[in-house]
Amino acid sequence: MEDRRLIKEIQQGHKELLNVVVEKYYKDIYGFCAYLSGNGEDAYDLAQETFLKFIRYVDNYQYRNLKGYLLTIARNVCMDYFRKEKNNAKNMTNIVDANPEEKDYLLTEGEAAFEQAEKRMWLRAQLQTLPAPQREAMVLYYYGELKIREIADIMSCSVPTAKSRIRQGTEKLRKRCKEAGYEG
Amino acid sequence: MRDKRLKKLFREQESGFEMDKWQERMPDIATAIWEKQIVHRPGKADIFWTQLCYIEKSYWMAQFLILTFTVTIFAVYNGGDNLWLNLKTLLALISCVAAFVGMGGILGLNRMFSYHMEELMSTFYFNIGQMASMRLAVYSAVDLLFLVAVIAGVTLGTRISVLIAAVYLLVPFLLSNLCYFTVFSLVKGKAKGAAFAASAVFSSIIGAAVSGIPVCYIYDEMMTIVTILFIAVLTLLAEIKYVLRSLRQEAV
Repeated sequence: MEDRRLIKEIQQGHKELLNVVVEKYYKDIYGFCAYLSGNGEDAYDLAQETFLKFIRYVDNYQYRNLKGYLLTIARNVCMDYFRKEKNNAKNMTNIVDANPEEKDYLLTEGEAAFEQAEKRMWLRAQLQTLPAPQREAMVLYYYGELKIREIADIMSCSVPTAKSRIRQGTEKLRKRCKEAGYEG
Repeated sequence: MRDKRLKKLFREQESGFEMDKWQERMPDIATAIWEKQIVHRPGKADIFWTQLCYIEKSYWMAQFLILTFTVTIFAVYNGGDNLWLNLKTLLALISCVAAFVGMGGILGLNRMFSYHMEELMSTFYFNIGQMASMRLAVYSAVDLLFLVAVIAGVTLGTRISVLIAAVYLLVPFLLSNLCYFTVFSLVKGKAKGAAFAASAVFSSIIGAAVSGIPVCYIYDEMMTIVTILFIAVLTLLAEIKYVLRSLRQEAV
């Protein structure tokens, strides 16, 4: 079902359709939270909190772009998480040590899975070293696949500012990818 | 253009997702959905339509009377063939009529906040500011339609240009609305009705008097007139904004 119709039906009282929204976007929201927080474990809770907030405020929501709206909520949830946990770049550089469960998972999986996970955690760690606005813009652009105008809306900044954040972030990441040998 | 390698790198994040861990969080979401009570909140279009339906018959009657009067004037003018009604008189009369166009709207708005209606709406948690804004939007839409129709009538029935016809109608219309909103925010009690009527008469006299002075609406002065009209529109908008803010704060 199309998002616009989905929201209309929900607001008309078909609350069971909220499950459809969750089913449709939970992976996107999880990935976004994982990148933004730098913590794959906490990302499940953050994604859950995002959907709980969405359910709470769905009556007031005026449809524009559902994914963008969910990402905006997720962003705010992540901001609260940072405030609470004081989870800054310093303690996120060694992700493997911060996530023992993930470490066990890596040890039990095969070499390919290990490489993929290593790459994933490397990217998370690299993202954590970027300034927060650049990190958010990069995740929204490359992972959320949103348009620059939508990113500017979510981040409450101008389109040129969003563009510049993405450009700077892309340059830094490209350089680091080259150094690490992740060139595709 | 997105960097393809970075995009691919970012997308590999999905492989880190573990369904089991997500399933552990699902019961809370399911409970939230179960407990959720959807409250219907009408959209702007719904509110606009509701307000349109609740506009009093007296308002439509008043607008109909003004329209009938205007059509009669045009019928009597008959393309300039009538000896008793020349172009100058026609324009003066049209200017007079324009001052009364907005009166129905302001009276309707005033009625919304009289006889304890305001308290009643507050009791039922209606968004007074929103309702007043929508009601104003409905009145404005009707008034503008009316003015456009009369401007078209003047342009087609005489040799006057659209711009000149618009000026003849807009000067008294804007002046009267400025007076109405000033009265609405400043005058209290039963004197309000009389003050609205006095504003309409005052604006129509000014409109008719100005349209009677030949030098006032000539092309050479058009830029000055348009500038004054523009300032009047801005003042009116500021006044409406003030009134709506006062309504939200329940000060009127």
